[in-house]
Amino acid sequence: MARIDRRQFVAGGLAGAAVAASAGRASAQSKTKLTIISHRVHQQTATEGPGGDVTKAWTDQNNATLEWVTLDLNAIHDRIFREAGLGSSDVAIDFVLNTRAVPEIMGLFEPIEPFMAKAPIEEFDDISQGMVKAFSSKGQRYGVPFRHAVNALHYNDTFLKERGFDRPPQVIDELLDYARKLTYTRPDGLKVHGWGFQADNYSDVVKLARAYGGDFITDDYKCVADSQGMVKALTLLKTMYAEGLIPKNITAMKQNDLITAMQTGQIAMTYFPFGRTVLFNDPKSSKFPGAFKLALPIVSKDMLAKGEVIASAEFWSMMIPKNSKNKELAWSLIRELSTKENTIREAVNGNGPVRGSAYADPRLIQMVPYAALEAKAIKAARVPMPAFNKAAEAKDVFIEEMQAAMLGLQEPEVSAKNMQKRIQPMLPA
Amino acid sequence: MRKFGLRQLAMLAPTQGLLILIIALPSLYVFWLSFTESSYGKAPTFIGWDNYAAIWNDRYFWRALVNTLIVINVIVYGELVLAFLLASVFAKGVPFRKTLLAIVLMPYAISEVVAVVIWKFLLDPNVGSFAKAMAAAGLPDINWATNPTHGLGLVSVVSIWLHLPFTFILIYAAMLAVPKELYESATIDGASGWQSFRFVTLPGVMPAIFVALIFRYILAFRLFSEVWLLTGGGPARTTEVLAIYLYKQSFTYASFGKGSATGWVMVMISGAIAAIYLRLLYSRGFKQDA
Repeated sequence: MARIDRRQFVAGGLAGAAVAASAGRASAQSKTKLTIISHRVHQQTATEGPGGDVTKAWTDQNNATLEWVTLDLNAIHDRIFREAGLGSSDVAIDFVLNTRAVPEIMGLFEPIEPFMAKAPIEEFDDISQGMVKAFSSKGQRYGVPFRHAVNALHYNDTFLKERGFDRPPQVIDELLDYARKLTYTRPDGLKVHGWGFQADNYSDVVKLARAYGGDFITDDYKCVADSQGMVKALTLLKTMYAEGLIPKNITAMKQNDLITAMQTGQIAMTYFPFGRTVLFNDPKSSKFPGAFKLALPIVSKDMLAKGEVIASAEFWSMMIPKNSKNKELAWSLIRELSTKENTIREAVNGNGPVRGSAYADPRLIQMVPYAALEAKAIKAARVPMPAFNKAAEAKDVFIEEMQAAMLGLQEPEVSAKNMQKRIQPMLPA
Repeated sequence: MRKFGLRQLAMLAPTQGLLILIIALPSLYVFWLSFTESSYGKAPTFIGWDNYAAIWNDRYFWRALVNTLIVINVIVYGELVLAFLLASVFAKGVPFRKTLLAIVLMPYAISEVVAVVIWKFLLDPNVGSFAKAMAAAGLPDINWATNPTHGLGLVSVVSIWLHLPFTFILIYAAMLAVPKELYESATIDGASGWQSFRFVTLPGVMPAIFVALIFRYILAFRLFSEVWLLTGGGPARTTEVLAIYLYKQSFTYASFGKGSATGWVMVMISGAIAAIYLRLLYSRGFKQDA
């Protein structure tokens, strides 16, 4: 065998690198790359699933490739705002959550009016105008809604049946009993926890508080965290944690960890957006495909009797950064993702459709078994916290006080009072 | 000694220029930013010392500072003791030296993120194999996610595991460099094992120990990924360290002024610690060679 000396090795390496670089340049010249910063769920619902790749026809037609930079909930916005603050950026589209769409950051993005004037989005009025308004400032619209995430109660029906339940919990007073019975070790050694929730966020706890008749921050920016409802919700979490009904490492579990825990059967019940049921029941990644079912979030006895629904919704909009190098193409892709037809296909892939007409579409009704339930939830949905400049700080205070109560570091009443005292001054006057 | 003239200065200039460009100028910009109120999409406004005052009055800053000081001392001295013991064993001679050296050095080649995720998974109380083995052996649980002491303890263990090779290799090299003749003389003079260690080995490796201490203090002071990926600073912000506090101020709360002020406070503290060890290094280590 011929031996390669050091010079030959270095020369070969350099030649290889030069070929790779020129190939890369050639490829880059032939296709335009659009960078998108989003959550994984946006990429997933736009490109994977029974509805197919919604972006394929557009990328073929425009000779473009999409680079999805997907990050976890907090990291997305850190990255988006940092990138948008630079002199120029390759990022074409940012997916921004409603609570982060505060007036302060709107200046970093392009208003959509000039784009709409040149090439409007198909039947724009069909898209939830409430969501559009949340991304508006000083009479200008800045975002095009893509996804709503209305939460449902997801439960593993196999576990419920094993523990003698023929229905999921409906009222808040039942939840503790359900969680106790659903915390058990299966004959195969799998340890199941009755309840799981996102302990690094406020949304799930706010839903519990609302089921007890309390709330966190009202739509007119009044902090009501010291209400009895919130104290009861915190007390419930404290009891659940003390009794081991919630995973021990819940405070370190991110959203993706919770999804894995559901798929692997470590958790029997949790709140998640409706569309996540596709992932929970996916035979490729779930140990219990087909076992996960959905119900409306838990309410109080009175609310159940009146047919009232508690649903919290957060939503995402697509925004074009002001420093983007490819705004026209970005708008073109936004238009494509927002057509009536593609909204249905994305919904089939597990997205929460932002067009009212989607829920009447026969394909959605046929292919998405939870469509009717989701339509009912979205009618009653409220954001768990309205947007304001110090929303990120308020969120952290909420999480800190909630965790302290849950872990028994302080009494729930103290946590609720602290939330009230610390968050109220952060709210707009 | 050769004359230091324009030619030498010209040869140094590119490096110095690069250092000014990528370190000095951004540092000065951050220093200026620390006296302003600044956020995304908002022009900075000069506010004097307000950011420093706000940090001074923030109990989370003090908690983060205390956590940082405790953790870095555990990490730096834990690493030093372990590295010293390992180096002593290696210096005396071990079988399969090359293989064992490769094993000891291996953690340094692993990405911090990968290493932390592996540890997190191994110690997951629900599915982690370490956690399960400990439970099977009747050992108490490590509640690293909910108990701040356990959490910071695990952060220290992971950090020591990751960075031990750095301290080890410095001390091991220094030990090998101690002339054999000195040990022979000590033996002839009737020195005991402890006396040989105290009066021959220790003075020989002291400069390396100080170098390791300085570098590890400065690097450990920036401790971020271990805490961020394991506990995220929780529960209830009890395991936050200064770098997490800085990150939150800057990028979560978008308060660049406070973030910059925190950065400069960190520079000052780590500079003060480094100065103490540099002084010791000079007076006890290199002075005789100067």
